Amino acid sequence: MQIVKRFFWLFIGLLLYQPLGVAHAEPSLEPFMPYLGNWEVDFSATESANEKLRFLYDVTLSDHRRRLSSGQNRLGDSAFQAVTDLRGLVNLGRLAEQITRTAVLDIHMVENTLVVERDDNFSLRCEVGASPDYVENIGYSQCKIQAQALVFELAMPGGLTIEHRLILSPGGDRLSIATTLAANGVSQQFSVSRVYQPFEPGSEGFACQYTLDKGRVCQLSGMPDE
Amino acid sequence: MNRLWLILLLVGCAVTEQSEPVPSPAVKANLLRAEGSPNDDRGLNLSVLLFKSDMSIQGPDRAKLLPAEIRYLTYLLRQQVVASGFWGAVRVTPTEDVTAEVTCAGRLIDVRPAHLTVGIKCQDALGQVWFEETFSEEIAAEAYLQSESADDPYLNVMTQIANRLAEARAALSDQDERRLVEAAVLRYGYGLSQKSFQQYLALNQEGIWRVTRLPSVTDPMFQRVMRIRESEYQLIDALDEQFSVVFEAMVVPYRLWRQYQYEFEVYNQALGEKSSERSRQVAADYQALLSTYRRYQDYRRNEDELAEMSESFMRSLTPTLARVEGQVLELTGNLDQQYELWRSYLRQIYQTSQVSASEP
Repeated sequence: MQIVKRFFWLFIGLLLYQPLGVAHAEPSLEPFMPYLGNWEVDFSATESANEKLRFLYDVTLSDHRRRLSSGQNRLGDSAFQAVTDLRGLVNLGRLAEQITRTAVLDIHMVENTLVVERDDNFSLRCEVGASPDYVENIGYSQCKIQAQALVFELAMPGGLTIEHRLILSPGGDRLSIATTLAANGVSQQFSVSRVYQPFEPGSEGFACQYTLDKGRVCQLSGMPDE
Repeated sequence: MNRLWLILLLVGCAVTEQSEPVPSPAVKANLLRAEGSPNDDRGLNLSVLLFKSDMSIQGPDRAKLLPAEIRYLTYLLRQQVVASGFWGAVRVTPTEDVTAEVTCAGRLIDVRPAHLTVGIKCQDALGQVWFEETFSEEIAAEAYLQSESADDPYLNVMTQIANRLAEARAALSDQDERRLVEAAVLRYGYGLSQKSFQQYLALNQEGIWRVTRLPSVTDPMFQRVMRIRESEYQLIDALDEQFSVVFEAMVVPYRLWRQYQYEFEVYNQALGEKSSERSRQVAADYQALLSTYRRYQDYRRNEDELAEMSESFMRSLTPTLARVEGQVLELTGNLDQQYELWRSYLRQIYQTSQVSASEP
């Protein structure tokens, strides 16, 4: 009996054994490299959040009208709820318009982290190789590569979630950011896309860096002195 | 500042049952202060080593902030120890400092906006452990509702540590103090040249040093050690000054970042106890929706600022020019590297000067 027990634990041990080399494989930076650089908005290819909202509002309104008038409303649907839903949708659209005004992006790596620096908002950060399991907690964000897109998901109180999906064109000369907002109690998500094109930062631009000995240092063009 | 109340109220509206109790305000520890004018020549210097982290960090964003947090918290302790007035120079050093009469090393065990646990071990130049204890406190939400100029919410823990140090310091006799001052100099000399200083010190099996005899104060070797130690003080003070600049710059963003983090933790806790269907629906009210986003935006902007400061610790500084024993040294690299370089230069300088002094 004792021998059987020993073999059993040996068997379990072999099952659990993983060569160290496999467990510590270096994460690949390859999928992130095409995103790096400076990007500016291409207005000709960018959607208008207001027009998108108008369209989605009309579609949702007619859908509610149709279902209410034909008696095909789902359990619990009422005219009051339809109004609340529409109001929620309009509010998501208004917020989308507010948060998708970024004109310039600077995408770079800081060690193993991809940083999407936005001129009017906080940076989106993506740790290469990190396990993306924190999005269920409000206040956290996660990123992942999904179907050739770099996806950032942000979760906020009140069931508000925002997803930024960065997709490169096949030639790599356009970057689309599809921003999708969803919230508890709103039947539709609201999505709007902005398209960016690469640009070389002008020589008159400032580059700023926080340094320990000098505080925040900015200088014209290029990197601040090390 | 009323925003935290707003979100706590909203969480309260979102759930009907009682959630886990939010910590109530801790009893404020009063800092023990030395009598007489603060920081007059009290003899004993104290070095606080940069804290180490024993925490398993959740999430890459938080991990990026850790270097800045470590420095901030170490400096917060230093500030409180200085304020107590029981000590001579109080310095923060990146690695073990043998120049000080007393050294404290800390470990961050649990650092969250609502909770702080720090392990501290303080010992003197003779190797005697004064205490090795864990200091812990639950932080109430109210601590983050004060104005930005109010005490740091973690300050109470640092006050407890400063008081513990003051008690241990007060228990020393004048003779004990004198012995520690002598031991610190001799151990510093021993670090520079074991061969020259082993005659003055003995180390027992428990790792406790004993001063066996003293060199003459007019001994050139002893005087050289004193001069080199003075140069080392000057460098540590210069590094400390840089710490203080970053500390001041971190006060507001770190406080706000913790405040928002606190709110998120409270919110997550409440949601974890309830089904998601019962959570609040912010989309019905545009102002509520916008303010939810703005808060999150503020939180992330503060996080950006702290991450940038954290990264600055890893970056190279402008080379420091330091003068010692008539030589000018150029120190390059980041803060820790410059300090290490300095220590190795000092050993070289001392050994070179010993060789030339012994030559006929």
